[in-house]
Amino acid sequence: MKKPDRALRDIHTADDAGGNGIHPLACLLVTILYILAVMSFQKYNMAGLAGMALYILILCIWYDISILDMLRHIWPAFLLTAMIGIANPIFDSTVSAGTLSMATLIVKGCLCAAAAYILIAQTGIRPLCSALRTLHFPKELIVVLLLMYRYLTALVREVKQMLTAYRLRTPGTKGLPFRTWGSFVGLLLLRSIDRAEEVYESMQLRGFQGDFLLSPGSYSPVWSAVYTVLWGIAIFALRFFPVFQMAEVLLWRILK
Amino acid sequence: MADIEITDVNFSYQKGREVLHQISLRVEHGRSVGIIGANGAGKSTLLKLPVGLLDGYEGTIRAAGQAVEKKNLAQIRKKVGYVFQNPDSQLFLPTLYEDVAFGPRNYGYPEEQVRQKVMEVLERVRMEHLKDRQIYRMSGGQKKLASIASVLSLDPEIILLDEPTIALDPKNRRNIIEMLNGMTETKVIASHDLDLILDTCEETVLLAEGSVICRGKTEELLTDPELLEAYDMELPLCMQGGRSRFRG
Repeated sequence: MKKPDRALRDIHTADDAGGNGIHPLACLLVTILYILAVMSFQKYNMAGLAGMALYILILCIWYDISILDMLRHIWPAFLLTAMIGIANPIFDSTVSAGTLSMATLIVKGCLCAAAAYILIAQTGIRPLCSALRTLHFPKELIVVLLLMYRYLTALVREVKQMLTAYRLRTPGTKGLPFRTWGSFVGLLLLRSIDRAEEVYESMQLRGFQGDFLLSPGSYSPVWSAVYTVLWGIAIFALRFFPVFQMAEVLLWRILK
Repeated sequence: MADIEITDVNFSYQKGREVLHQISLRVEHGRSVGIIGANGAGKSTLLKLPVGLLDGYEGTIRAAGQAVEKKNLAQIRKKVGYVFQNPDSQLFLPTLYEDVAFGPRNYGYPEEQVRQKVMEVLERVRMEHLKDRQIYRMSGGQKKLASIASVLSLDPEIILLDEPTIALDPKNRRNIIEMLNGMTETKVIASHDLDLILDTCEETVLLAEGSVICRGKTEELLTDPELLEAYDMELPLCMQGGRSRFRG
């Protein structure tokens, strides 16, 4: 699958997400709690962080999310945290301590990005924005988020069309030669601005005045509450108790 | 009072390059008016003016009984629907239901009424079975019908359609024509498709280089080969008996 097609598929997948009966607010709260828990670990506590990966694994299995796809999407978080932590081995007390703190930082970044990725896959972008509104996030911020998401589709479609048109007229060439990047990006910008303007005009014509009114959706309150409480307890346990150590001791006792 | 009243309007996108020149047009309530003209004649530009998509024009424009001014735009846009040439520009929400519900929700309809309105409109365009279909999975014809449905959901008194049959196959084209003929709202249709205009409009306005050349009954105007040819157009296909191998 070509890159623009894959990008479009990802956007549409996020559009189609949701419908699991759990209120997006519950998913959002659990994700926030998880991110806070991950971020609160000490910079050398790799063992504790490894335990937090259980949350990601369980949800990936539960929602049938491809781990490879997820890794493909969160690699910028890996790069970013690696760049931030690259100086740790030099400036920390010892090289090994610095390397460990850098690794911890990278794992933290990746776990948080993975949690955010799973949240989108669980809820979809619009229910998520609706949940953010419930938490009184600024209206403007949410509208920008939704518009960016909409315009992204227009932009990717334009890229796809332009790339196809280019390839059809340049058989045998691989990729886009560097010398055509300037005109390609310029034209892409102009075309996507036109498309984005039309989309915005269409929204205005149907009464859009700066606020996306999202459908309430149908969710099970009981299931949502159970989900929040259970994950709340699990995240608390993973954060404050050496769960693996306790499990190991328990296992030994049983075996004895 | 006319539903749309455009008087002595001049408009240009760039200074010194007038796209519309001294345009006057009156569309009475319940009428169906076609706007024809060669590429660049100003059809789409003219169609955008009554809903306030373009500003900076000279002259006066009234739509649905109100002057087209910023303060009236919300009320005008509730009464005047605009169907874009490209349905991909019009439909921006993931499912058909969500897109059709977008307008009523913005105008503060209660959720139950939104649902009722959406279902009513989808039934009207015979798409109720597709209400949960993702827009990107729809065919061109379905998207076109969906974009009309998204406009109808606000119960407009006037509908402006920009090339409603562009890139449609004959069956979908026929569906659109049947639907347009079944609509009682005032309609203004800008199109190159002269057969469509002939099938749906009582009156036609011929535009050329931003000016109204003539206005008259559709059957009279579209059967005048000299007039059409003078302005880079041809007779509707259904009247070109001798030219088509497949027509009698």
